[in-house]
Amino acid sequence: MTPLLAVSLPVDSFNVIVLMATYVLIAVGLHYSFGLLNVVNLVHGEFLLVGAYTAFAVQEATGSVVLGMLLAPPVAAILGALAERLVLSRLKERVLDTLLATFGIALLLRQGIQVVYTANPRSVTDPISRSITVLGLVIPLWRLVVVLATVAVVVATALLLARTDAGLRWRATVKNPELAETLGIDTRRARTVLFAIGSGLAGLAGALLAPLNTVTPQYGTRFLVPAFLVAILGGQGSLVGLVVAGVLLGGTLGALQFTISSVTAQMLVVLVAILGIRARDPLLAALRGSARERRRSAQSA
Amino acid sequence: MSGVPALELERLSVAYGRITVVREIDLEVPASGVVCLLGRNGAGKTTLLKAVMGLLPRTGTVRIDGRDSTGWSGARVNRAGVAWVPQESGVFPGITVAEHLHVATRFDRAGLDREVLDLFPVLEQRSNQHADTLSGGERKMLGMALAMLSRPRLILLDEPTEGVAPVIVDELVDLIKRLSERCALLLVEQNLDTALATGDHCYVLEQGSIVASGDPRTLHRDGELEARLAV
Repeated sequence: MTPLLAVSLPVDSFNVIVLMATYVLIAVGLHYSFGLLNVVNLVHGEFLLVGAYTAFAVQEATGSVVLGMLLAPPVAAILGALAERLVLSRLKERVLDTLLATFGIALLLRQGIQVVYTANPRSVTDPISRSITVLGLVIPLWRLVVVLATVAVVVATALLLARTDAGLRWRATVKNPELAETLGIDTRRARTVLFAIGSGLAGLAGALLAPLNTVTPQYGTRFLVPAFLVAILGGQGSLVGLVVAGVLLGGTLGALQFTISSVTAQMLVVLVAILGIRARDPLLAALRGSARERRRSAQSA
Repeated sequence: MSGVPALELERLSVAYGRITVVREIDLEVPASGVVCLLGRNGAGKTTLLKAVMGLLPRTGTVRIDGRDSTGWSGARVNRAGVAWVPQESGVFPGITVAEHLHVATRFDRAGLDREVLDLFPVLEQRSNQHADTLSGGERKMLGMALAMLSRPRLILLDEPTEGVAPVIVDELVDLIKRLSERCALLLVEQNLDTALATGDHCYVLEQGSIVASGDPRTLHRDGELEARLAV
């Protein structure tokens, strides 16, 4: 059985960076559904699965894996939009019901894919399958693409949410839905769009990571726990926190799994996450306090 | 359209589960002027406003500018020309005052009405500040500015003077009078002085039902309002 936190990558130092990026990439979609909409989204892993199988299916049908990767985000986004509009929007603020509903949708997607494609492992071709050497370090180009795509997704998310009218509309919706509604914002549509974007990003992550892993119907399940660890450690709703948490946990796994056994490394990652969650709030409070102190000293000077 | 009332309620009832909070209300707000809805805490005033805004399920008829608004969302009610200033002066935490104003103009930078901004100079001074860091009085002013920027034909004002320092109350009463020159107002109040200073007509709500209505000064002379509002 595949260990829960395993992301199978060969040993070299560049892979520590790839693991950091992977942890951010699998969690960034949760920033929309869990971080902003407060949906404990157990179907997130299955949207990664949908992305991976879309890449595989299109590759099989057309021979173009790149086309499959381009189609993966919209396919996952459409499924996400349907799940939100048809099921989750009717369960607003009913946390347990939402949890069960997302678990049920995840089960349906997983079993549906297993019925169509069987449980046999599938491979998605590496679209580049070449490496470059930089300062003696061998860098497989597809892994570099994964790292660059992660940076692009994070920057795009930050800009979209902070600098655009749509982002302001969505932030207003999640901060105070009643006020947003009475100021003319269609909050129902805003929630659906946010959930669809989160699902689409999960689909993108699933497709981008597929050439680095074996794809089976359990593919999404193994990413779900690390994605939630990152999202929770980062602080719900904080994109900066999510990136820091992804780098910390991915970096920890990367540094450890090449020196100790993979299972022990994953256990230590969970331990780091738990300690990090406990230490986060006092640490942030102390940092904010010292920043206030510095401002006061500067003003009095 | 000037003859058509801005708002008409016919047999409006609202219930939370099996508890009816507002019972068969008939009420009319003309296209201009200030109508006050007076009542003690728990009389159902805020519930009534939320039902008008489409935020609560209801029975009966709500007509906005003569159009039946059954099934409309809050956004649609707002787009039909009704703005709501909630009692708690809700804001979007972590979002700046300038961004609040941008939302209220429906993301139209040309819609930032200079006249409205001139009424609330403090908001320009605080434009880069997160709205949740404003004082209570400043939040009330932000709430009124947000309502005005959506260019409404009717504003629902929910207890604007509640919890505000007396010196700010006078400022708010003055603002309400200036607001009433631009559109119709339905002013929900417990404060009798505010109602007397601004209202053209008033309804008194008691345990979810209208128990008196008429000119506020006449009702005041008759002792009706004191009797109904006395704690």
